[in-house]
Amino acid sequence: MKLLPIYLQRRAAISSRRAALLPIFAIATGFIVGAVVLWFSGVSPLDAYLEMFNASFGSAQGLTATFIRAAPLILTGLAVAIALRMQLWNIGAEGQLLLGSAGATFVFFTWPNLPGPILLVAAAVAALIAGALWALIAAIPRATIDLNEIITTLFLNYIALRLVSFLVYGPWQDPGAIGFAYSKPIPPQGAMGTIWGTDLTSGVVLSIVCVAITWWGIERTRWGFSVKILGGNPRAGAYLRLNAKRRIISIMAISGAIAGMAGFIQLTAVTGRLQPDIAAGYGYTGILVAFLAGRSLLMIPVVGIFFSALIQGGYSLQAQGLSSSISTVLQGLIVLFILLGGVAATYRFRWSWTSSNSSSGMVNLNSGAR
Amino acid sequence: MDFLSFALTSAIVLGTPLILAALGELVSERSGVINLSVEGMMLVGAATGFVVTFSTGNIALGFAAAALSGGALALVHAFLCVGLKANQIISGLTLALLGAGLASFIGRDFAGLPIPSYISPLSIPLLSDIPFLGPIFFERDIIVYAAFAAVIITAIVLKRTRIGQWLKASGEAPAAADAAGVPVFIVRYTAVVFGGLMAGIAGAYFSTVFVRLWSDNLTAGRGWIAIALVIFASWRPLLLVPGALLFGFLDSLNFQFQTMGITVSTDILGMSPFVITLVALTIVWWRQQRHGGAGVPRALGLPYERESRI
Repeated sequence: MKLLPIYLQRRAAISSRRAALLPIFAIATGFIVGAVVLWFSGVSPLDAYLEMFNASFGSAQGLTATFIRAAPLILTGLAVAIALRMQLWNIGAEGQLLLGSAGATFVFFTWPNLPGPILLVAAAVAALIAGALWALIAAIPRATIDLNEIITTLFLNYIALRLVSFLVYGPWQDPGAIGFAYSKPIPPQGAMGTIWGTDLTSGVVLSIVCVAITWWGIERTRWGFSVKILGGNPRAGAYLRLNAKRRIISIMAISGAIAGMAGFIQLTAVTGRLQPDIAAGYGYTGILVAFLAGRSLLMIPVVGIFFSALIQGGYSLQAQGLSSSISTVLQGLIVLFILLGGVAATYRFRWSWTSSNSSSGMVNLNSGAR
Repeated sequence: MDFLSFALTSAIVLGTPLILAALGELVSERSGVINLSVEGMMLVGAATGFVVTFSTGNIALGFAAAALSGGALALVHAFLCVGLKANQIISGLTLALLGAGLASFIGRDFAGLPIPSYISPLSIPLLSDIPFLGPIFFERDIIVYAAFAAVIITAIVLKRTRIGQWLKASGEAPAAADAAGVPVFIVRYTAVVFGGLMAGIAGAYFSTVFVRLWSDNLTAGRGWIAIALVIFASWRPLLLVPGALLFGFLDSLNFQFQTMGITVSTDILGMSPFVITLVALTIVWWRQQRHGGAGVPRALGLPYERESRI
């Protein structure tokens, strides 16, 4: 009794050519399935995709917006990716970003008269610390009693959102706009500068610097090496007497700090005020960025810019009365096909109705129906 | 209505979608497959259920569509994780986000439109005449009764039937189960899809019966609460009920304090269910760890590969 005429055979190794083609296959397939979704909802996929491309890469204005949006995505992607090096799932970048921006806002409102550079550095440090502390709330139970960090980091997102909302409607309310979902503005010298007269803020540069520093920390230091050992093979780590608990705490704190940095950039370069929608789902999209970037930290900026363009393009569709959620759908589909392709690449597909070959190494998709 | 009866009533109403979604996740996890896309499946179910109910005026059709859409998303997860042995966490998280996006897309033209109440309470004769408790427990709608019945049925199936044995065997020791003739792959596929159907129904209950509206991210994290409830309940169906009712009660306080004129920040109230669940989860988990094992299915999260069986 067979449902599908497919047999799978495990490959010994995946060729590098296959591995390189995988993202291209995934992106193309994602766009094709997305086109079907668009077509079914009565929209010409070609027009929609052209519009998305024009709005994100097609003009100087669009390109600027794409790069500004890429900064938080690169950082949240980096935050998720570095935790993954230890097999930790930091789903809480959204909340850590929110806390980071709240920490920076605290500095801005407490010492509003400090000169610009000092104020910016102090706010950035506050954002790093706030993000790290928020991540530690999940990291400590994970390290001590092995409580699943996926659930806890995720819950902390919802708590952070309410916390920021409380601050914005309460203590940090704008007296000129009571009842609006944003705080009073940060001091003018706290706004992040732009690059060489363009409208492009320094955020994207800062985020790429963060990627470089993190890459160096993971790939070039003893600490980074110990993290990779513990992430790859915990038993080998234990044999080498590496302290997994301390590494869990440090890597999660760094992960949270990086996401907190994204909050600082959002606050100083984009919104200028604390507001509950400052994270705008970047923490969640960061998970997808990390998945798509795969094993290479240096791929994160590329993927971040690509996803930023997708989001930017999605908003342009919204202006035309379409739903911007198509960009979320596209992101999800692309990562899904990366996953599918990544697994499928380890198999050799055989098409046959006959099940004569039942030698070792063969597996049937309908295994179980024997 | 006095405070206590109102609190208990809303705990049941708000707890029902949690019971449904958590029960589906529990069955999936008992078979060895963790599905983190409950929130996405609930949202897709909520959007589909709302759109179909709104368009046809038939809520039964709405629920059927919601169940199918949740099940379809779960089938993708099952294909990736059971069929192709992909990483369950990556697949689940991706589908959670994809589901949220798809739900927004499905419901985009229906956001903010109200629908009438299609389901009326069904009072159970005799039982609803019990003073105080009768009206609270036995004048509810049919989905509430069905959710509680589903919990009891699942508990019995797990404990007393062969299907229950197969399910547990697939989640505890899939290689041994396979050798003993249990169709591990079919069991896992079925369990995951069952989880999707339940999450879809839970979402539809939320959008078509409780709030009777569609808006983006309508379920606001309740899918994740459902996953936490499974841990909370040590993977035992009957223990889902107190957790779900507690969360439903906390969730309802927000509405109640407003109607009672007590001015507590809605944000503090809104975060309280998450804070309390987080604290409770930590304590429960810590106690379970100290008393040896938390009832986690031994093969949870691990793909079963027949070809690598020893």
